[in-house]
Formats: sequence, C-alpha cells, structure tokens
Amino acid sequence: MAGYEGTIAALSTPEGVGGIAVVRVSGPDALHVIKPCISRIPPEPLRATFTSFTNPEDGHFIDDVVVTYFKSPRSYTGEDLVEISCHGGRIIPALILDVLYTQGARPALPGEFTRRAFINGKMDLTQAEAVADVIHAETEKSLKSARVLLHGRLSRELEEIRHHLMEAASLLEIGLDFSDQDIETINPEEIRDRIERGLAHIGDLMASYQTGRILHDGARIPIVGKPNAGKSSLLNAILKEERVITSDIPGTTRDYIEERINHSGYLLRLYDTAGLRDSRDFIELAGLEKTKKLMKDADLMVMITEFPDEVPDIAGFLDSQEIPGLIVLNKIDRLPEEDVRKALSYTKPDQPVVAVSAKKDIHISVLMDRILDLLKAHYILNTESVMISHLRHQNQLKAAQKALLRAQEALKAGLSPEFIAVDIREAMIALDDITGKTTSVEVLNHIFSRFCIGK
Amino acid sequence: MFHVKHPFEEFDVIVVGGGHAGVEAALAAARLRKKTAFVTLSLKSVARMSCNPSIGGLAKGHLVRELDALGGEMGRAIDRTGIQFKMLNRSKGRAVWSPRAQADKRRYAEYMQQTLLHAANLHIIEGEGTRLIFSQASVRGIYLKDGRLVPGKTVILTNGTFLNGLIHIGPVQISAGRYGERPSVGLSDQLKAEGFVVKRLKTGTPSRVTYRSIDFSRMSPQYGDPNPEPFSYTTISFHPKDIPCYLTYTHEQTHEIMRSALHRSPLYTGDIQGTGPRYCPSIEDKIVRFHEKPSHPLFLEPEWEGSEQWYINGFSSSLPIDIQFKALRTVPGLEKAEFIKPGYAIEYDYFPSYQLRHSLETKDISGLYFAGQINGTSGYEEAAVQGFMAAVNACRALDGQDPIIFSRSEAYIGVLIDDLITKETDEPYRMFTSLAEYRLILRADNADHRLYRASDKIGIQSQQMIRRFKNSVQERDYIKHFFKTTSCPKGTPWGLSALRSERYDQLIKKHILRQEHLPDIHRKLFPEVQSHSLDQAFIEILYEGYIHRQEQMVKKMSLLEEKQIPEHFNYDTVKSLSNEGREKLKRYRPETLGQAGRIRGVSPSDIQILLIYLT
Repeated sequence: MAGYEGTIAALSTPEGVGGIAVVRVSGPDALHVIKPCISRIPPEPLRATFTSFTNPEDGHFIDDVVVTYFKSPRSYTGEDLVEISCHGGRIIPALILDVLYTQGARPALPGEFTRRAFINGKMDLTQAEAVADVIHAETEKSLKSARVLLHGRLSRELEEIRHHLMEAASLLEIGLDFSDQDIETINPEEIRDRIERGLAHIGDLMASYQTGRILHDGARIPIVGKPNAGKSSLLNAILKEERVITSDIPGTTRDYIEERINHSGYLLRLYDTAGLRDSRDFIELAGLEKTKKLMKDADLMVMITEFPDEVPDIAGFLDSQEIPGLIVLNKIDRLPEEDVRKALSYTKPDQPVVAVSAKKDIHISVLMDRILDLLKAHYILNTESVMISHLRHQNQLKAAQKALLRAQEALKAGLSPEFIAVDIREAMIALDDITGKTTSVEVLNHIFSRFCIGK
Repeated sequence: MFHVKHPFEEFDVIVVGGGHAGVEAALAAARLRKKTAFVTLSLKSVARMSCNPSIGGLAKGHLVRELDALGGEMGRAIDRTGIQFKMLNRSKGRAVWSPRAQADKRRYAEYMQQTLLHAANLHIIEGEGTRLIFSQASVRGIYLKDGRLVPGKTVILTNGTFLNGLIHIGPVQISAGRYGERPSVGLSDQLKAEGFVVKRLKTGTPSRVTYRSIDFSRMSPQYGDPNPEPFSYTTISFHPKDIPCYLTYTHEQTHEIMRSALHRSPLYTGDIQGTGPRYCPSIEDKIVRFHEKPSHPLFLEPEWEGSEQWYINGFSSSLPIDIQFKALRTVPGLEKAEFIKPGYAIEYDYFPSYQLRHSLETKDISGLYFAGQINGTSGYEEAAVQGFMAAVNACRALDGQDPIIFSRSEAYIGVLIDDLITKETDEPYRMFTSLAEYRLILRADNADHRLYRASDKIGIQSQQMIRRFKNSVQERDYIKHFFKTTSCPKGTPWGLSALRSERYDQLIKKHILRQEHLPDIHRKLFPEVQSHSLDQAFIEILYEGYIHRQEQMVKKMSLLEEKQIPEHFNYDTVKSLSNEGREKLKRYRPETLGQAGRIRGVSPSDIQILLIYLT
C-alpha cells in the first residue's frame, strides 16, 4: 500500500514538441514541494499565477511558468494539486520534474492521478474508466462517446434501471413484510411491468455494446477475396486517401495485416487477408481458424470479386452473412466499356455493390462512403446516447439480465414473492457493481415513502 | 456524602429493568448458574406488554423461534398463555411464514413473574437503579435510588422507554416510563457524562376502550388457525384457545375531525423532538401522509381473556383526548365507545448502538451491556433476544470465553444485532424479513436445525432438546439422500399422479409430490422419524435451487465477514480513505471488513483499500 502514497508529479501533456506543457503535482505536500522553486506563491486557490521557476539547489532559472493551486478536495484528484504550465518540448518539463523529484515528489505511476480521483470519491468507476477512454480515444467519435460516460451518463442510465427494480422489490416486499395489514392489493402487473422495463433498458445498453465497441475500438472490416483479386492494392489505395493513424502491429502474425484509418471521424480497422491459402471456395477459406475468428468478430465484410469472371451472387453473399457485407467489383479500368456499364448497373444505392479500380484510384472515396453508410445503417452510431464499451460492463449487464429473466419466469410460474425478490436483488447487485456503488437495502425506505403502513 | 447501605454481596450479573429484555437476560444468566440480581421498579409490572397484546408476527415470529431454540423463555410463555394463534403469510413460501399469537397480557406477565420467582440463582430486588459504579473503565455495580448499593461484575441495562421518558397527549406532557409509571432519571445523564452519545426516539400506543361499549355486530371477526402451531420446540401437546379479534375501518368523517385538530398535535407543534417509526405511524400521521386514502383499518384486540380493556390496533395518536374520543366515535361499532386510556406518544432516551460490540457490551466500559429499547429497537421480541444474548455473553465473558455472535446468514438475531451496530437508526428498529439477505435459509421452521450447535455451546437448552434437534438434522439429511437416490414407483399408495416411475426429488420439484402428501409418506416410509425432519427435507429439496444460490452468496461474502479489523486500528494512517468513510469507520469501529462494508458512507473503494492494508 505504501507504494500508492505520497505526493506525485508527472507531465500531463504529451511528451515532445508543443507550445505548452503541463506538469501536475498532487498529494498532501503538493504546495510544499513547489514553494521553494517559485518566486511568487499563488495567493489563493484557482488563481493562475505567473512566476519564474528556479532550481532551489543551485538557484538556476529554468522557465517562466503559470502556477495554479487547487485546494483539496476541490481538485481533479481530490487532493491538494498544483498545475505548472511551462514551455513545451522535451527539455524544460523534464528539468522541472527533476527539481520536483528532489523536492520530495515522486514520479506518478501510470493512471495514478485518476486512481486517486476514484479513491477520493471524485468519480465513480464508470467515470474513471471513461477518463482512460478519453485519453486513449483515437478518433473524435470515440472521444465523444467516452465523454458521455465521463459525465456520468451511464451511471444515470443505470440509476434509472435500478429505480424500476427498486419499485418491483418494494411491491414484492410489501406483500411479505406487511401482509398482516390491510394494504391495497398489489397489482402483479406492475411488478411484471417494472421487470420488463428494466430488462428492455438493459437490453438497449447491451445492444449498444457493439456500437460502443465500434466507436471505441474501431469497426473491424476484413477484406476477403481470391488471390490477385486486388485486396492489397485496394488497401493501399484506401490508405493513400486517408490519414493513417497506426500502421499495423507487424510481425507477430503473418495471417493478415491490419491497418487503422480515420474516416470522417470513425475508426475503421481494415484487414488484408492475403497470405491465406489459395482456394476458389470462399467458404473453405473461412474454415481456417484465424480467419474464422476474424470473420466472427467482424462488423462488416468487404468481398472483392473480379468482374466479369465472377458474377457476384449478391443474394447468396448477403444470406451467408449475419453482418453487413459489401461487394467490390475491382479492376473496372481494365474492362471494356460494355462490361463497365454492366458493372455499374449493379452499383445502385440499394445494392451493397461498388465498382472501383484500386490501381487507378477510381471510386475509392465512394467505396469508403458506402462502408460508412452500411455501418451507420446497421449500427446506431449515435455518439450522443450512452454506450457500453467495456467488457466488464457488458458482463455485469448480462448477469443482471439473467437474474431478471429468472425473475420473470418465477413470476410467471406463480412463485412466492420472496423468490422473485432474490432474483431482483441479484440484478441490483450486478448493476451496482458497474458503478462500484454499495448496495444498501433501500427497499424498506421506498416502501415507507409509498405505502401507508401501520394498522 | 450520604451513608451507603451495603446489604448485598457481589453479584456476577445485575440486570436492570423488568421488561422483555430484562426477563430473558435475568433468566439466562441465572440458568447459566451465575449469581444474578434482577433490579425492577416493581415485580408486579415485570414482563408487562405496554403496547399491543401479541407476540410474534412477521419476522418477529422468527426471532421467537430462534430464541426458543437457544433456550429463551418467550416461546414457552406465549404457548402457555396465548389466546389465538395464527401462521402469517401461509399463502406465501415457507421462508416467510411467521407465527403470531394474541396474548393474554395478564397471564403472560404472571407466567414470567412466577418463572422468575422460582428460578435458582436469581435474586429479585425491587428498586430503581440510578447510578452505575465504575472503576477504570469497568462496571462495578449500581446504586439504587434509596441509597442501597448492588455490587456486581457485570451490569445489563434494559431500561426500555423509561430513560427520561416523556408522555405526550395533545398539549399535555407527563414525565413517565409507561402510562401510570414513573420514568427513570439519572442513569442516562450519568452515561452522557461518561461520554456516551444519547439520542431521543419516539413511539406511540393507541387508546383502549371498554368491551361493553363496542358494537361487535358492525365489525368482522378474525380468528386464528384451526390447527395452530406452537412457538416453542418444547411444547408437545398444544390446544390453545381461539378468541377472535375484530376488524373495522375509519372513514372520511373520522379523518375530518382529526385534521381539524392537527395544530394541537405535539407532532406538528414541534413539541415532540424524537423520530417515530414509519411502520407504526400515528393515525394523524397516516391521514396527513396518505390523504388520498378514504379509510384506514382498525383491529380491535382483547388485552386478555374476558378483558374489559380492548386495544385499538391502528389508532395510535397523540392528539388531545377530546379529539381522539370524538374521532373514534365515528367508526362503525365504536359509536358509543368508552375510553379507558387515551392513546399517547412517548419520547425516551436511547444509546445509538455503534457504541456497542456485537456481544452487546459497550465498547468503552467493560462489563456493561445494553439490551432492548435502550438500543433503539422496538418490539417485545427484538428486546427479548437482545436481553438473552447480552446475558449469555456477559456470562461467557465472566468465564473467559469468546462471545456468541451470530452472522447474518445464521440467524435473524445476527441480522438484528449487526444492523443495530452498523446502521444508523433514526427511528425505532423493527425486524423485517426483507432485512435478512439470506431469508430463504433463515426460516422460522428451521431455527432448531440452524442453531442447535450454538444452543449446545450456550448451555441453557436441555440436553434432551439438543439431542432431539440433532437427531432431526440427521433424519433430514437421511431423507434428503433417500429422495435424491430413490425412484418413486408408479401408482404409489399415496396416489401421486406421476405417469412413470421417477425420483422423489424430481416429483417434489415438479410439484407432483406436495406438502399434503407428507403425512402419508411419513406413515408409510419413515414412521420412525420426527415429522418435522421430513418437512425440512421436503422444503430443502423444493427450494434447492434458490437455497443453493443463497448459500453460494454466503460463501462469497464470508471472505470479508471473516476478515477482522484490529480493535484499535488507526484509520488516520490510511491516507487514501475517503473522508466520510474514515469518519464513519472511526465512529463505528467495525469488527470485520464485512461489517465495515455495510456502514453507510463507507464506499467499496474504502473496503478495497482496507483489504489491501490489512492483508
């Protein structure tokens, strides 16, 4: 535990070239640590103070800085916190940190500021997770969805579900603990209704998991097709057009190549499945273990065919998929005029077919827009609504759902209320696990607020 | 200084207060062969039921059964003196069935008084305890008001509503412990001076009317069960009386009269400071909070067999007497009602129980125990189990033994004491089944199976009963094994409708083999076992899935429950605790991490941090 104490300091802005860098110091001695280094002490919290930063050991001037003091508990971490805005670059922030370390601060561990904020009750678990998401967000869209969580929207959403369950629990308990009183008969319909509404809400959140994951981790889009159909050239054509964010995790596996691109603010992960064994039969290809897994987790499939050697079996292709698919007719630059017309006749807006030339860069941007359209049509990529993007949340929701389904069944079977109450309580505990909130028995309080008790 | 008379030798245990907590405490200590003093204002008023004439009820019936399994007196007393017995919640599952009885208040109190008079090792002292004697944070005895000194090694305070008791009837205030009885002053001031936190609570009791003035023809009679079940495991032959209660309703006119006089109620004038129980509100409270309800039920209950005094359950009030009168006389059947006593509200001192350990000993003064309403509970049953447990633990401490502490998964007694010590109460605490998270395991019907080991360890219950409990557990296990391994042939003599031969446990789970088949099965398959054992085997198989899930939950939680926090643990050294969490932990000083987690304001991350610290 000792490892987590003390006053910590770290650079809070990205390392490297930049106009301004911010160094944060947090902990009981934050002010004490910085005092000897600056000529003007902030006169009060939240007042940005311009001052010079010197090394108290040798009196050497380091930088002109702006120092802001946040007094506990009104700071990000909930502790005393000092922010030093200095000039960017690699040298100055490092010098400042060196001085702070000699003055009694220690380097912060990864995520330690947020950890402290959580421990000090400045945010609940979902918010803490969202902070990590904001920091790691690769695109604007995923940043937005993370921000929704950060503002506690998920917690509020869960609170709403919890409210339904609380109502159901109260109705059940009143039938048990106050059955000796002449209380208005409880309508089992309302219990059923509350459970159903809780379930529907949980269902929505669970469905948003895929969406949340797409926004957060990116949409997974394998490009499949026969060798020489032009998969690699298609990927290259796309990459030339778009800004590359991360270029692949190389070497570890030769099974496929992953490229991440940012298209209109959405993160797309394209997989070139080249290197797979040559086969005429696409299904047979899919039988391979790695590809299978890739297919299983895919959000959209892009299939390249060589027109007109292969006439696309659109209906058959779509039927074989649970996820949206897009057929790409490649190499239209090499086709005679008449075949091009034929190819283009497939590419109607209601058909998931695009005719392109990867080599000559024809219709690549159309292809990209079609990909996005298909994703949007299939998944609700609305960054304003709450989305689940963490497996932990999804698992807890699953547990709550399971318990509520059991409650529903028990209710249908006419079991006594105390059994249904067990399931509802389990569901509530599962939900409370997401926010890290303690489950206390508020059911009685709820009963007293709603029913006239006492004969 | 006045001269102190010193007429007594030192006692092992001094019980102060003669209510339901005091009686159980005194009997338990005496039965554990400790030299016991029982200090009460007057023997005549011992074990008096100051409010409703009944024992048991939802969740409370569970407490009485548990107390009985451990060797307490309450179950036997009500079985011998009750005048109507009913199993509540019979239409629901077995875990929430609760026995309840209408009591004959006089005979119940007489029974207890006689039992006390005949108990060995018990010395009854009539007097008022006014000042405790301390020596170096240990209790040494108590002074009575008349100057007598009662020396003792341990003291159990069970003063009920008597500590600085103040009765309110409309604008009138009377200093009293119960209606017509003096309050006890001095003790709580002394404890306050010793550093104890004292707070006020409020409770109320309804008016009583004369039998001859009630027109029962306008009310519906309410009888007990045709085949009543006793409370006590020791009661073998049971043929109690079945005297009815009566149900009637208030209506708009009643409410109108009370509403017009609300400004004269001390609840609304602000004269009453203490918080009253929401589960037992006064009639004026109900009218205000639930103004949309046109009527409220009233149950008329005799206070004893042939009683001239009838209790009006549901009409607790602190309005002026004239208003209570006028309003009550609008109720069907009570048009000519004559009052014996008006309803009243009483305020009294209690000690928030975070000042206690789970043994019910105070944290700061060794040998001093609190039990009953003084801890902020309400109800005879809640008081009785605390009195019993305090005495058992006082005696064990005298013998250098560990206290007996029930977990929340073992007994309602465990839930009650843990709740008291861990949760802040701002209203009198009453037992509810919904407070027990392991409700399906903690049934009124298996108190003996759950507690026989602890009962044996305590040593009050007779060895004969302990053997019976133990045998029953073995029989239950045998029958369960039989049910799970044996197929029931098609066309059994007891007329099961199974289409083909199937295992018994499957037939039970499919509701083909039902409760009503048990007597036949008992006769033909297990004539030698107690029917109770067969019943238990049946229930446990029927609810196996749910019971299993609750047992899994108990196991999961036991990690935290077993993690002890050192008694003088310094929470200030754990810098990362939340401020609120730290403050609460310092106040409650929980004994285990499990208990810490139940304190409101202590967050899961506080618990995680403590877990890391303590490991």
